[in-house]
Amino acid sequence: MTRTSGTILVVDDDPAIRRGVAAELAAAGYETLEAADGDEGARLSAEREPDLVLTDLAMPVADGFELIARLRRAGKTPILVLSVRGGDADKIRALDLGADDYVMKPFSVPELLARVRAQLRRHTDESVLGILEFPGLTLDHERRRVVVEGKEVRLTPTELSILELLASHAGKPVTIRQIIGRVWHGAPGTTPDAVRVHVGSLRKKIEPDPARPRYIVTEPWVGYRFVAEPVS
Amino acid sequence: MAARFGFAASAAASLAATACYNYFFLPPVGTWTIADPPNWVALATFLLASVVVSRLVARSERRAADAEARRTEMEALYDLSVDLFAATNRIGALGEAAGRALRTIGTSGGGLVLFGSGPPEVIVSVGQGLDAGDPLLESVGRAGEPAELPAADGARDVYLPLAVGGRTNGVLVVRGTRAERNALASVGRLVALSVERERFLSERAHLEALRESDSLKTSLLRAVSHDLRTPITAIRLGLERLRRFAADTADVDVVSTETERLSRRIDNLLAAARLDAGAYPRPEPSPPADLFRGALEALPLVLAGRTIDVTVAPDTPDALADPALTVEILANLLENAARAGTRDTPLDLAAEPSPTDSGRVRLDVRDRGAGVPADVKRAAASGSPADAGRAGLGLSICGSLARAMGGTVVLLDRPGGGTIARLDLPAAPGETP
Repeated sequence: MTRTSGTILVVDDDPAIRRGVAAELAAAGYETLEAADGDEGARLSAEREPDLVLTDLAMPVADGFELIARLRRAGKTPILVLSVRGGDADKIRALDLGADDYVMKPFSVPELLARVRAQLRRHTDESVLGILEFPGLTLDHERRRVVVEGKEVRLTPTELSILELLASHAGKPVTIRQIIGRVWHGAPGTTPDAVRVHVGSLRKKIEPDPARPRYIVTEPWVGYRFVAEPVS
Repeated sequence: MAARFGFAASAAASLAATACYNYFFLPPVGTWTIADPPNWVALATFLLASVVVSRLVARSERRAADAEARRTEMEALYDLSVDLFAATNRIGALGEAAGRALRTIGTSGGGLVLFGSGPPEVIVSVGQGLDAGDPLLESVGRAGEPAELPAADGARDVYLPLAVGGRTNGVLVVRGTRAERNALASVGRLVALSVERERFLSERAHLEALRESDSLKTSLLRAVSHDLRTPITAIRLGLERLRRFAADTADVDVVSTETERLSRRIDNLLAAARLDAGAYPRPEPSPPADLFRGALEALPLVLAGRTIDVTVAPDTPDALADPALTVEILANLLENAARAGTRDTPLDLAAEPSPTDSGRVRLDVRDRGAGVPADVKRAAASGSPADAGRAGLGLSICGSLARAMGGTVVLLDRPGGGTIARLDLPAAPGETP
């Protein structure tokens, strides 16, 4: 937790969670705003234009889903959902509405901070994608080269496209549907199983220890997440 | 005359009228003789006409009586159908409606018997009624063909099988009826349909109650899930704050680790409740390495400082399993394994294709503790997890969760000392790029 900056709006009806999360974010160097429901959240967001909104889903007076929908109509502020574990359907619904990521309660503080960092990282525009560098892995978009632990790895064009998509969204979940849309350009007949097969062979090529993946992990029922943080 | 007394009386009257006409009006008046031949012709015509008219009137009158009988039957049928279908969802209405119909079409009553799983059940019995032990009931039910017995005054006792969709589910008995077979068959079909409908209604009521109970469980589960996990989250956040300000974090570590354990128990409870509430496992191809990673992430404090070796054998297929339930099982097994040995003994997580079945995958959690506890072995032998103590109970939860996904959990003694907890799961279908 070194240099961090940005204003984060925390929306949760439970004061213990709201204050606890705000205190941890403040300790990590962020400015924080607090709201107890979706209405107040939407109002504060419009007034103060935070860099990130962290929201609970179950709230009286405009729940998290409604807040996500309102924020998405207003702009692109990254939204991180605080959801109760086991609510997989809620998680997917929130993503579909435009949330960027989720953290399951009970979460650990390092996990929360990692998700926040990933959202605040400047969104990489793929058209100006240059060199992406992660610990032990370098991805050179221009030269279509991938180097793992100092050695170049040969990837198929599909594998390279998948890696580029996931790595440029490091720390964020990428759904199987998004992968089919971006890598296969939504070609009809592309199944989740086909995606799994390509991701499987990509992981075999880039993971130094297949038993302990460092870069790509599955996100149950959703898709994949590139878990390594870029070297700044 | 024909209308009131029938054809014979009417014909006799015609004859008498003809004779009187001859005696009083035809010359020679006052005698039975007829002098003028044309008068014979007129008289004969008169007689013939009156006989023919008598006949016609008598016949149409009989038809009217028949028609009246049919009308009564139709009315009974109509009333029955209205009764049966107006008796909306009220179970028990069937018997009342059938009783009314029987009184209308059978002069001596009758009854309705249903064949269920047990002995035949008499639903209605009116007038002479019926006896559940009547052997004719059973034979009509078995053959699915109606039977008739002669009754007093030329009426019949009719036994009608009630069949819907090839299955005879009862017999309707109409005693002392003169009704036509077709009408009786219609009554039989109506009652049969209603019996079927009533059975369906009671089944539906039962299913609705079940569904209601499931939806109640699900709502309760969501509430409990939220109400238990929110305070745990608040406690964790509070502990993080304490840790930042505490001079000595040893106590904070103890509370944090116990909170992690508590959190695991809540997850166990909710996973079991989720299965119980009918939220079935949602399997998807899951790479073993990711399942292990999930289990390790669930226990960062319990496992802090432990050496954990993770190996995934080449060619290990993905498991076709519910990722959340599988992580749940592995975390439980890991927690047990961590308790089994001293803190400096390593733990192993290993995945490999099942050597005996290419369609399955093995996920092992291995420790160097004292081996499979004696009470767990004893319980496994007796088949009762309740006797197995704490470790066995945790194991039985794992077993239930695994079975819900077509998997198994077993504990084995590990060669060289320790225990192998083995989760065996179906493998995802092979890769075909």
